[in-house]
Amino acid sequence: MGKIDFERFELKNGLKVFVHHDTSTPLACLNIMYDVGSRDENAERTGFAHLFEHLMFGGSVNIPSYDSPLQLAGGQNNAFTSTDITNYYITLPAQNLETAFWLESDRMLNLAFTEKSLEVQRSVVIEEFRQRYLNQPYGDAWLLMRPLAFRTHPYNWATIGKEEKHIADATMQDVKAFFNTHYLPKNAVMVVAGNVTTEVVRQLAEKWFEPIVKGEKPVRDLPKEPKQTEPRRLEVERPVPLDAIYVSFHMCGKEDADYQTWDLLSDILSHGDSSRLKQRLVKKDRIFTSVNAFVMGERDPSLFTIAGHVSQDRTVEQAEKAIWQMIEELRTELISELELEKVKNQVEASHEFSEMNLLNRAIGLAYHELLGDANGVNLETEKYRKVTREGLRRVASENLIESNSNTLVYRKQQ
Amino acid sequence: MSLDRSIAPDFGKIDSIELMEPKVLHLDNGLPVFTINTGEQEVLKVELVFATGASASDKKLVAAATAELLTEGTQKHTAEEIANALDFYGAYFNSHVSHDESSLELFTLNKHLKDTICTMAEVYSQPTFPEHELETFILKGQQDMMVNEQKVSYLAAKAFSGTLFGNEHPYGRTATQSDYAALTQQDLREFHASAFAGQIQHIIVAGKLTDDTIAVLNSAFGQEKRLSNALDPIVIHASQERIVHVQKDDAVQNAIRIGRLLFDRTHPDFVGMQILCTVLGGYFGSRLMANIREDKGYTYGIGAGLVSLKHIGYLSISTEVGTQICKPALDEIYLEIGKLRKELIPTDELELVRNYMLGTILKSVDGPFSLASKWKTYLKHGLGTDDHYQLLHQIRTITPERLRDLANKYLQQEDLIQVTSGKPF
Repeated sequence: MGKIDFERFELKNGLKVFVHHDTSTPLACLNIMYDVGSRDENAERTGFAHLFEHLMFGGSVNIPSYDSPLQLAGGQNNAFTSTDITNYYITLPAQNLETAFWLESDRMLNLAFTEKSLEVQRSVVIEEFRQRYLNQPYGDAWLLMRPLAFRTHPYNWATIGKEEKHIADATMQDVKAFFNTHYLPKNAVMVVAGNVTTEVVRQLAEKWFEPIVKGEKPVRDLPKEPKQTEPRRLEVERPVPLDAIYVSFHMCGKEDADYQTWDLLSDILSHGDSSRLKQRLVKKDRIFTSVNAFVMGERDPSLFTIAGHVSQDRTVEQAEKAIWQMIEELRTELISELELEKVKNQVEASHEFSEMNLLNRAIGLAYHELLGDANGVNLETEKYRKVTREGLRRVASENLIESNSNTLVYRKQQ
Repeated sequence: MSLDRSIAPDFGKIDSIELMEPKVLHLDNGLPVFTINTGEQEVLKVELVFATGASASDKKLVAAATAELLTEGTQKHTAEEIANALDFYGAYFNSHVSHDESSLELFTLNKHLKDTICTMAEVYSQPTFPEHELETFILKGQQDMMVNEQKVSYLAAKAFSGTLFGNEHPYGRTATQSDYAALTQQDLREFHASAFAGQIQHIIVAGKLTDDTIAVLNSAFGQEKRLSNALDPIVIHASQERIVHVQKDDAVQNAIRIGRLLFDRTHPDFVGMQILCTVLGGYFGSRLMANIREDKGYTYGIGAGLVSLKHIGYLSISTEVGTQICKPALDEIYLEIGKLRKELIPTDELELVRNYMLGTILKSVDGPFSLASKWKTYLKHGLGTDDHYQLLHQIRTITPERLRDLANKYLQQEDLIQVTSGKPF
């Protein structure tokens, strides 16, 4: 299967740079991943990493508009924030690569903070909060589940923030402090991918990024989540047409040896039409109209979740019982060799499809470098190949238990 | 030497964007196969394209149900067996039904083409539409619809197409709970016989082809008898209403849709309107985004674009805004449209839009699957390489005067339909 080749070097200020050549495309991607996410926020000032991502488009110290010069050079850009990382990317014609270096280096150097930009982006993010979380049926599920499942670890809140008020209250002082702490060369990984050469990338990186002051990588010392010992439950009434149920279990972090086993457990339950939840609970028994199992893919110990919309003529109790029945099978029975081979093949194919995209390859390298080794991206499929039937049963039987469960129920308002 | 960061580095213009032409081969029965052999990954996408879409059925949902249930049972295999046969190889199907066209796609690692293509041939040609599976489809569809009806964006989109085309028109009608209940196995079998069986218009295969890819396709699809079912163009009876509000009292935001009927992609004003729409709301720095999001903070996003159906097209502007700022947001949208009618677009802004659009096109023809979807669209609208170069030429040369004329011709406020959903305002 395809391997992502790369070369690497490090600038004097500690910025790590990776180059991935692909001469089949006329394009280049410049991807910068900062090692900061909503888990690094103060519990009283949540939603900040994401609000900050918006502010990064408000112009930098020497360049009043970030977007216009890029669009003029035929480029596109965007960014996303998660609990663990903030990632910025540009795609543009390879010949115009320097424009991307110019723009990204200036906003790592310093932002042009204005009150107007802060005020507008606070409103934009509040509208985003409403559009995606409040004005959608079941949109607040993670705003409810995270605090239920996490008592001390900052995965307690969603990336968008705990509440609108935290965003509305963000001050200029907060913004500047956040930038000075986290937006440093040593706290970032840059990947340049596409029709580029290492010589050119090195030259451009030295020219545009090396003058940026080094700074100190912030020390992360997050509180550990204590082991859950009792089942937790939250029931809410909402104007939703169907009842819904979410059951989340604490699981290991992304770098743990059991991570791939957990991920395959979710695939056995719900990857593809042949998966157990689809075949049994949606099609055969029609207990759910839709139901899925998934892992969050977070770095620190996180959640494994089964969630679904309950059919009109079924009760939450029947649905819950059906979920636990599926879990019981995973805990007590060995899955067949054939089913294991199937989910491994699915992982291999998904990986290959995803890597058709140049940007996905760049993001994969950057993310794995944050985990410790960019080449990890090339070893992923192999790790999944090593998962065993016994391992699946062990992880399920040790962890998919009541005392480790967090259950969120939406009941339709009468 | 100190670096002056206030000066932008030089950049080059995108001078040519080559559109890779597919190689056309014919199977034994004459069925054309468009091959796009490129890319580094060991994958293939095979797409069967049918010239019939939802508008060909006088009963709602029949086309969508037929396409969806192709994979839910054949004369030889149950739905579960079919799902297993594909999932085992990490392969999957996607079926699409638009108003004018349908298709079935197979995504597979190229080493598994032989193992998966037989399943594709079987589901396309011998589906049985089992009663239990149809019933599941109906129940699930009805309940998903109940969830969607809680979303203002869904309510507005539904009312918008009804207002544009008329609620009874095949392009404007939307399904209700009872349309689901009315579906029968017989409907699906009849639609399959008239629109799918023997009626592949062409196959598009993209990815890393191997020596025997075509032979494999030939044994799967090259032996059947080909039929053809030409469809009549559609006459539009648009509604007389221009301003519509769909009430939803517990909304936190209102959804807005503004637009009008225009023309198909072969119309001489199409490319000009596409450029004008990009200026208005087609990219992050567009006028609507700059004003309504980046200046006022009224919304998370707003966009404008042209939608192309086979025989007609339309303009659609869409956004969601806080309920209490719905009126000011509408005023600002009309203000921006008015500016396009009254003022010439400054040359530097137009230059930016030209380069941005060229960059987008460059990206849209990069990689096998992007190329495949580009060519699928081109084939549907009867376009070819010349049209691609014509598009590039127009983007480079269109004048501000011509764009202002187009705005005056097509963007008069009294010709625009306005649909909102949410709280009264």
